[in-house]
Amino acid sequence: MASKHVTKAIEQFFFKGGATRALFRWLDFRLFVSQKNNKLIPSSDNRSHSATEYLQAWQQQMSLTTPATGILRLLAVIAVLIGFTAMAGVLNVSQASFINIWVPLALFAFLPLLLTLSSFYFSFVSPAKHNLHHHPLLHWLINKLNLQQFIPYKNLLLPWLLWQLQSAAILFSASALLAFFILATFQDYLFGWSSTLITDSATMTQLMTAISWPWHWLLEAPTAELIQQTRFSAQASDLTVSANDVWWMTLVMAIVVYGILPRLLLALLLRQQFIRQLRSNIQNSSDVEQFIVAQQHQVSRNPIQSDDHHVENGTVSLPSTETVLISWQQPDIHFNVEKNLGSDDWLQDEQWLNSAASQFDKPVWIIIDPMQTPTGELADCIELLQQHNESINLVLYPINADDSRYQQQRKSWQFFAQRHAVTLKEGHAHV
Amino acid sequence: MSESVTHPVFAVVGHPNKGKSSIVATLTRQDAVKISEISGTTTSAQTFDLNIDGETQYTLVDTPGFQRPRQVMSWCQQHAPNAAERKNTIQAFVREQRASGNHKFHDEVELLQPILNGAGIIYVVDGSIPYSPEFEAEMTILQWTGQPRMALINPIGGEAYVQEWQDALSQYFSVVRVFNPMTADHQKQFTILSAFAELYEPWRHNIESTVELLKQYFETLERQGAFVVAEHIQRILSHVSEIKVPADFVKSRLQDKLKHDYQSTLRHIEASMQKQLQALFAHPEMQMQTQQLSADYPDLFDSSHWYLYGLDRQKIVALSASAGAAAGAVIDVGMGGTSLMTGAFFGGLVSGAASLFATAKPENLKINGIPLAGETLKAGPMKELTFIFVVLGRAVDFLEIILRRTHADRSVAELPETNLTARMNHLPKVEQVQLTRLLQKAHKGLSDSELVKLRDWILKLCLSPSA
Repeated sequence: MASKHVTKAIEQFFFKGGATRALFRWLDFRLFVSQKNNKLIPSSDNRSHSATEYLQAWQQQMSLTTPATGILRLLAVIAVLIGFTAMAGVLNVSQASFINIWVPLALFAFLPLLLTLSSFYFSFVSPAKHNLHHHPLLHWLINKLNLQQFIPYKNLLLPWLLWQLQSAAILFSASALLAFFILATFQDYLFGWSSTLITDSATMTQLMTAISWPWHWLLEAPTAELIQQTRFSAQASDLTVSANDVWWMTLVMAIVVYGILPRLLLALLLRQQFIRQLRSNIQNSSDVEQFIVAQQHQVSRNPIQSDDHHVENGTVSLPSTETVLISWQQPDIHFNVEKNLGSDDWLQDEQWLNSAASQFDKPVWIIIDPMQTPTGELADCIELLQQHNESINLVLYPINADDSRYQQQRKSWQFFAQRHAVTLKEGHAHV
Repeated sequence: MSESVTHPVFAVVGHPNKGKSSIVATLTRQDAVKISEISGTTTSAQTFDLNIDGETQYTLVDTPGFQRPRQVMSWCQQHAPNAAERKNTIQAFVREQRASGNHKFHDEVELLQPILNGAGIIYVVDGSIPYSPEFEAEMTILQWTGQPRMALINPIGGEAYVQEWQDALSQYFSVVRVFNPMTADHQKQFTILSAFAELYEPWRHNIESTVELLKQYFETLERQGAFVVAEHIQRILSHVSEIKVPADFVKSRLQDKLKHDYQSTLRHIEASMQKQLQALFAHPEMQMQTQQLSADYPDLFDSSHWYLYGLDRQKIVALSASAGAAAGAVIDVGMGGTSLMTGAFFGGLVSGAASLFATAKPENLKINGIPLAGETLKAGPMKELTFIFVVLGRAVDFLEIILRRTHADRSVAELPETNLTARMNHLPKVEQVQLTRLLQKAHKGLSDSELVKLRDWILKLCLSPSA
């Protein structure tokens, strides 16, 4: 609810067990709240519970969704295999000659960098980044992971999926690097360079200096001399190399710097964005409050309800000489009445009702202001009158049939009359 | 006061059918407190709590009305030796009635018991009917209990006799206030709660902190409610219904079906928003009467070609070119890089061109007579500005209704004809433009920060005075 420590406790509850667990616990919770019946089985104690206690009770009563992450693992395995075999292929394609450094650079450094930049664009910059219709691959993944029910919450699902995909993609470059180290341990590979378009070594030296700039503080770029020495062509490839280790270290650094690091950074960025969005969603969403309100919803036990049963009442003229008139709590009524009950002390009323004065040979009409409410005391008076008289009637007076309040009050009087077996009439002043 | 209960407890008592249950409903935010038109429907006392942050701030006891106050008074007068014994006499009365199993004074026992247990008294009267001495027995009994007590004049049907009641009630009660549970806004509720604080010094701190908590709580609720609206507006505007059209099918028939599906989904989302707002503001039982949302615009439909795997033509060509390039790259690798990636270049070019050609007439793409491509008919996302403002206007109106509605109000709520223009005019011109741009963008999906911006504008529109 309102206070900060409660918000913090709610967040901690959902984030128990990591970010992925938090996402699915939260989405499951949102789905539960959006259901028609979102009230938990009540606990045995009647005390009020804190938000986290209610949430724990919910978790105990529900089974949480675990995404079918097998497909993500499969994608990771495929990435590892492709990375490993691609590197093995590049290194062993021609054992006799030099390996053109451009090939592994292109496959394991520049291509992954391009793909990382494109992923960055689609994840952060593209105007359609929140639109699932522009992400057929993610749509396919959602179906494969059985997460269709969470599509209304795609603002949270998409960042999570993008994070998962980038995490899997890192494995491609990482496994390629691993393959390089494993194979290079047991085999001596020679690297050189060859190009149709780059005709002089000076341009190549400049290019390599630029490529190696990010790690120049750690490892020097291939020198002009080395570049000169290691240039080969398809016709003549028998060169003598004195510093081959600079080439392979440059390759390793290029894979790390262009292939792995940007991907890792993107994955971390996506993870951070995903967690920030999840936190913000938990804070801004009203679902926890809706859930607590539903748990605290109390229903009245009282069984009697309006049945809207309309009864036509008889109409009578007042005053009437053929009846005995008694008023109820109306000392100022302008008819002559036998007795005004309900205004004096109860004992006086009781005494009168039990005396011979209340035994009549004519029907008794008790005049009641309809704006009053029926009470047990009136019922007691009726009961005492019924002991000595056969016909007891309640007469509502004055009548204002157009008043909605009167219509409402009349229902109470009808209910009362029915309950105490007396006739209810509407009285009109005799003109 | 009772030893076991630390928060304030008030028994809401009075003559039958004077709005006691309505007051309990409004002050505890419970819309399931039964309020019947028929007098005497509350037959037993029931407690309702106001909880914030899992802590009960106060409890109100909804009690049956006095049925036989003169008889109770008569009994007490006969059994009270002196003024000092009055509370004991009331206790003795309740004890005797319970022991005898006599149901005649059931309602009086139910209403007196919580008071004898330590509850403060809130005595409710109807300000639309005149004061008469019959009520004195009730007030005297309450006075005899010696508990802190206040009176609320409930002007159910008008305020004609409010002054008369105030004069009479002030003889028996230390605090007298007028309170209409059907219309009381938050400020009025705070005023009444502050009056509770005046009743009994030990409760003052509790009730004052409750008022502060409630103020924060209402602000949070307003923000959360506006966020529900923002989320659903985004869902409505970005929703797309799709249907695949077989080549030889009557398109107009499918258009009707698609329109129906699209509209019913939008209505479903709007209904879900209303249900969530009702749940949030504790009005789950509220009934609504409203015109259905209609999204019938000439440019509602859009058609494009569909292809295998649900990709559009542009993506198929791009993917096909990439696949060709990848195959070419394998050849380049096989040649040790001496081909200088020409394999990848030509592979991409040839493959891309082939798919461009193949998808020029999608209806001809068939395998064993089963079409691999055809036409997709789409409805949405909604870009029509008029509709966007209709959706916004309806949502803001609904939010306003639910913000203002008290929990005692059981009438069927009606969504009025929306007048968003008047609300919009309360926003500065720059914000009007910014809001419009944000709404126009909503069909593409909004980020969390954009949703929060939309939430704040919705709240401003909702809290601005409508025309």
